[in-house]
Amino acid sequence: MASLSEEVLLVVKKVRQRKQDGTLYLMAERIAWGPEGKDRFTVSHLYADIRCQKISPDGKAKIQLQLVLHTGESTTFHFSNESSALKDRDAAKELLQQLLPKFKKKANKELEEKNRMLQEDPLLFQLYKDLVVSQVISADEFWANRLGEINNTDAALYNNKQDVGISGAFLADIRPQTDGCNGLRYNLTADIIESIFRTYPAVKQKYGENVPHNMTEKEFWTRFFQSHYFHRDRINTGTQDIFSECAKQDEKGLKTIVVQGVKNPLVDLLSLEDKTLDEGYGVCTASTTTSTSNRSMKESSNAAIIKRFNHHSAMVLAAGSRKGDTQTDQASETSSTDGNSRDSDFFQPPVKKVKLQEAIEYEDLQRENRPKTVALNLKKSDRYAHGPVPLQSQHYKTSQDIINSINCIRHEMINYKPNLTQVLSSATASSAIAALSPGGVLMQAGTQHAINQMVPTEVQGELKHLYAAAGELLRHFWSCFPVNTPFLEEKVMKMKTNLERFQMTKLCPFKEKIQRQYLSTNLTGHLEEMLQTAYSKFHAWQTRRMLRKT
Amino acid sequence: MLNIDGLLVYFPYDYIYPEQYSYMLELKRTLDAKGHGVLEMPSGTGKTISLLSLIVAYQRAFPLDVTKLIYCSRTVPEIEKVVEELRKLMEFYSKQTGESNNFLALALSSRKNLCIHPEILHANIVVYSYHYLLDPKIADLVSKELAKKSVVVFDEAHNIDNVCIDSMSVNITRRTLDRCQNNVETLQKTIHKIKETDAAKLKEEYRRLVEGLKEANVARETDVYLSNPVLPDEVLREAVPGTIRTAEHFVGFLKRFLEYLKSRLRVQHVVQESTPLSFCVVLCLLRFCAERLQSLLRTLEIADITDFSAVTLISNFATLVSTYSQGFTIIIDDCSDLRFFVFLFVPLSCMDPSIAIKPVFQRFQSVVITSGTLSPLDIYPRILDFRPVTMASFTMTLARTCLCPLIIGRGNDQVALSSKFETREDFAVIRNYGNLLLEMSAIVPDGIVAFFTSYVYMENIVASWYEQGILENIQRNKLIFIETPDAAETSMALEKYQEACENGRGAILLSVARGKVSEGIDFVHHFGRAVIMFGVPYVYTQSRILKARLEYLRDQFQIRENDFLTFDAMRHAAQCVGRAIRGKTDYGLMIFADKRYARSDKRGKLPRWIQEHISDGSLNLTVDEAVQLSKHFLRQMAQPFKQEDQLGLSLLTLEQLESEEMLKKIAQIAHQT
Repeated sequence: MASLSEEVLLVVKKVRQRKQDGTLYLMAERIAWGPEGKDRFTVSHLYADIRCQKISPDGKAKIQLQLVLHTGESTTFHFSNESSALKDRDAAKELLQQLLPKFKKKANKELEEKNRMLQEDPLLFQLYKDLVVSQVISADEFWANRLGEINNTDAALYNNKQDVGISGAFLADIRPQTDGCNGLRYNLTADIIESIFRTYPAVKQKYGENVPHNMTEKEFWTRFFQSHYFHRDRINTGTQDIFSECAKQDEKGLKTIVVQGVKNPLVDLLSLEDKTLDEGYGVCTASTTTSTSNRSMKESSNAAIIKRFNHHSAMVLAAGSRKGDTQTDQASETSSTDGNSRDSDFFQPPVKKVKLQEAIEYEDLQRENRPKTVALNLKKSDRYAHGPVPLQSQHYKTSQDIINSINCIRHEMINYKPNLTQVLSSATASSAIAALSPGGVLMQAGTQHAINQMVPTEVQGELKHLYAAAGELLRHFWSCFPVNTPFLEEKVMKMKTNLERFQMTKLCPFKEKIQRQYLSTNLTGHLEEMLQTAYSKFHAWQTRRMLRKT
Repeated sequence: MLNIDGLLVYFPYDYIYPEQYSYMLELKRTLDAKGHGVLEMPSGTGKTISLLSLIVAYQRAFPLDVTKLIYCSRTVPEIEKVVEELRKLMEFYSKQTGESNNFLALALSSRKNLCIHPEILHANIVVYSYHYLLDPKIADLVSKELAKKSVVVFDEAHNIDNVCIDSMSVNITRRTLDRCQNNVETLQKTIHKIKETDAAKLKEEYRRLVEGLKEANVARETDVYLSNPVLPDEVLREAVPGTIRTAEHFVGFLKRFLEYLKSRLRVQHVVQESTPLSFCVVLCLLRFCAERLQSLLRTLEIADITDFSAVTLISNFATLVSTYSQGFTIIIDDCSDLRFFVFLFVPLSCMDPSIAIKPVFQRFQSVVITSGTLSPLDIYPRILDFRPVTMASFTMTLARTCLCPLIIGRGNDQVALSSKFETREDFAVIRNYGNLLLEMSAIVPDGIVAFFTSYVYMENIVASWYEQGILENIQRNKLIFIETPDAAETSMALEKYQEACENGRGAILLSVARGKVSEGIDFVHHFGRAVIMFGVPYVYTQSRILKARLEYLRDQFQIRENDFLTFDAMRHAAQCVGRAIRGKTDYGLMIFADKRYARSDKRGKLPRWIQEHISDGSLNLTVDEAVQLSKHFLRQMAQPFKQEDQLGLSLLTLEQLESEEMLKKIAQIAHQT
């Protein structure tokens, strides 16, 4: 049992358990105890299984530590090293104190997960109520084959819930309102603060540094809105302003992004030109001659705004796609490495090659070989494009048209001659008529439909629930076949009683209820039939088993 | 495999656009006639692949008539795209013919990996930047020995005149002169040293010079070299004048010339004069400066020529100044006087793009100038001074109208919208522009690109929008990214912009016409569902260089100042709005927010493929009207668009292409002028 790979965090010798001396091991995921002289554990609990630990009061002679499990069982360890018993116990206690909460979360997570599933799926919740709350089956049975699904498929999906991005205009949404006495009020919500922090990590850092040691939260935000950092002329940030540093950091951040360069070579303006003109050649342009110091204050503040917008947009974009970004980065990196090795005869980074090929591709000049997709088939694309339009005058038939057609029909009727040699026999004809009359063989679908409409919605709902519950139980029942293990044998017995209980407690009352209201309709017939099939299968199995036993 | 007027062309796609077929037809005619051509075809209609397939096929069919394709493009990504397309074509060839192709294609980019001559000589296709052919300093090294029977293609050529001018213009600052002084002193020292140790070498050089530059002359007459416009024919015919044949004399002469330039720079006022300038006394000597310096540097065996860039610059300047009496102007300008030392400029501005490109037109049998925006076509032959055999503008055949040009002339309050100088600071105009962007940000999905006429203008407007709270409101709909003068910062903004479009948040890029973004970045599909052009991007007219150029154009080519300015503004506007449409499956709004666009002299200068979609109903809209039209357009465009919708209309199979009826239709696509 003592697998070597496990990390042992703490070893305490001379610990008694059930009056036996031994050693206590605290490992990464479990706590274990083994008797002296043997290298296997007789006690081993996963931390996740432990509900809490208890210690003996200080004054007591025996220094003990008790672990209570979720199942209700408990294990007691007695620290018997005379000199350091208390110290040993406390060391173990401290470590457990740190470890247990971590695993508790995991245990809770399962509960939370169940809770969430029930909340998100009303049908499941109903089923749970029908079967578990009314004690047809136990909760464990109910979850037995559902949690598997969660852990396998959904978990990954749900854990990576998509992050909500940031609105590009979140700063604009903080509309200052005058408070009536020469001041401005800013309404900040948790969302906006979150947005500010995500977009400007420097501000978050400042916040962490200053609140609440140096100033209150309110003071912090007041200063934030007063600062030049928030306003346009960022170049004038004074030294006393705590945000002046933020501006510098932003600048630095922008620079690092710029220095990183771009991955797509087609947008890289630096390598766009095949720069061949030497210095001194070419027509000099005005822009190169005006030195930066020459620019007026206004111009440089304009430039600052432009810089700021680029930075803001880049940060907002990055905040929205941070997670995905790292993944694609990795992907592109790996692909670039193996791409290079394949493409050794021509040293072109694969990203570039892909982009180039994209750029020269004329998809419509090639025969289509993509998977066929279903196109939206619009009968009236105009209506789709413009929405409903007021009704236009329709094309009506004139009365002359109608008279003409009547005359036409009359004319035909006059000339009608029955072809008596090729008609049906009277017996066939009457049976056909009977079949097509209400209540006839061919009209059954219609009548059933009528019953559906006759039943009030609440009864329909109840029936639906019954069907769902019965289905669930039957699923459990049928999944036991073929019965080839003792466990399944036990289960199939239990499920049969469950089914019977279901019929007694749920189905029969419902049947009586509808019989009181609708005497003729047999809504539960099919349900009973399904149960009956299950019973007969069960009996067949049972008799066969008896035979085999005797 | 297509049949273009009797030529079998391998085309590496299953389908073809009608305009591609038409383009190839025109191109073939140009090659047949061994003349030059000007071809305009919208971007995203597969211009490059049509060009490559046809010329490669032509080369294979008539290996004696066309030996080489020289493909020049503007930016590095463009060049790389061409190489990619070429690779695709070659793969297709080897798959179809079953033989490994013996074509040698070569791409040159940046001087880091400068190519060696023999390879260039043997390559069938050479792809490189304009400068390698137009800049005499580089052309001399790289392209000198290219065969006469080459086809030269200038792609994205709408700015070719500016490239020509750039490559022939010289700026001299006081710092250059100081560095030049150092260079000359080093030269002097080296000469002294060599004289002591190896006098024979200098003597040998002298002897060579006496014999004249006969060799070079012979070479050019027998047509081995592409002529260097800096080194005109006369220089080659004459021997270097006696006074500067010896090394010491030449260095002494350089020193005197330097002193003269310094004295000129000390003048505080602005001077503009056409060459030849006042130092005509030594004109004939100056003319040989460049050649003489080359020879000297060779003799002294100076390995690192970059150290001598200043003196090379000065000698090139001297040669240019003395050679061309027309087409160059000297402007002595003083910029920026805030610092303690004063930067003074003696820019020698080339006014005439045709000087740089002349040797190209003269030497190569076919030169094709092509771009998505070359309108009006006739102006290019005039300013570049050549006679094309074909000039054609192709439209984009469309199964659905995927571009929607709108001209907005008024705000909702009927204020006339314009970026013209008088109303530049007008609050009402700025507010209305802001309102336009705000409204658009609410209805256009994904990316919007807005262009302003200049950087300063954009800065002012952004600041003003910020004060009025317009930007805040726009931020509710989309993120805002703005071009800055710093290229690295703008690249970052661009990438983030694309990221924001990609992840569905949507973004706006504020940018500048004539800026780097407008010239080199494409906004395909969702990266640009709308382009807004705020104002007409006229060039800054107060610049002395521009003024001089306008005067020159008026005097030499009879092009009126205003015509040229409008042409220049409109080609940039077309470039900007064209950035958003990169193909037939793409779609986008093109919003021209200035009432002046409605005038026919402006509108008429837009490329035909944009112009033909401007209806009378979209000429002088208010912001609200434009929003309504845009909504309608965007909803229609958002419907699925499939290949079947295009087939037979704007996309053809081989069978469809061969039908009589279709051929008749195709004939109408090319718009001959």
